[in-house]
Amino acid sequence: MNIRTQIYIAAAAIIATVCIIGTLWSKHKIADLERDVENAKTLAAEKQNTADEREKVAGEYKAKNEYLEQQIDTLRAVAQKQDEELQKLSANVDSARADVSRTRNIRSAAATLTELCAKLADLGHECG
Amino acid sequence: MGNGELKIENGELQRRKPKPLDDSAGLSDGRARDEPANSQFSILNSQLASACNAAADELTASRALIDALERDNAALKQGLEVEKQTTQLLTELDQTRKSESESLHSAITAKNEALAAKDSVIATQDKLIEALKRKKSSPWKRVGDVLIGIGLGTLL
Repeated sequence: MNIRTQIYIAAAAIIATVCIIGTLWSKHKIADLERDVENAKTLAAEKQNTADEREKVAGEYKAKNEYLEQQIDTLRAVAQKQDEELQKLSANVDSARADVSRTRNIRSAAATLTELCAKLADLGHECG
Repeated sequence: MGNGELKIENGELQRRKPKPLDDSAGLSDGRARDEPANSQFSILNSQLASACNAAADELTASRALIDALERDNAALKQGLEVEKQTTQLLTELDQTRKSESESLHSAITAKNEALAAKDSVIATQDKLIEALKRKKSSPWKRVGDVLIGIGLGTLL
């Protein structure tokens, strides 16, 4: 084997080595990139889960708000009915107050003793 | 209380014409009419009955007023309770709305982070695609490699 052949073999070996190293380096870089992609996907999935959970919590608050608004509407309806009832009662009170004033201004009212005794009995003070 | 005292206190009443009393009282029989003292007693009795009747009417009306006021008071208390409940619910609603707002802000932030993470995924995948494209040799390059090999073989 002469020197020239040896040079060729050495050159071929160097080229083959360079090619092998290049291929391995390329595979390594691709593996790194694939790992980066997987890590990024995992992180994105975690972030998405967190976002979904927070959205779910917000949805629960929204449902609670709707429930509370419904309860408040019910109470307002009750309060409105009570206001109407209060107006009627106030009218009754005014009427009763007017009756008291009217009867207070009457110094005497004609009545038989029988009628008077009946009234007193109604009031809880029976005659005799 | 004697009749004389009543006459003095009710002198004004005595000047009014007395109302006739019911016979059931037994105070207006024929014999009493003849006697002045009994007549005065009858008049006084009638006036007392009228005043007592007025007082009874006032008492009845006052009791009715008390009942109405008590009902009014009870209704007001019920109204107050309803208002208290409403206020409590409104306070709770306010707190819940604040919490909902905070949760929505938090969710939006998390969604933005998720979007950023997905952008990162896309960018990393783009890099991978570029690397794979670089690795993949084209047919022309392969032909060139073959020609280079043939050339080298010819030289050898």
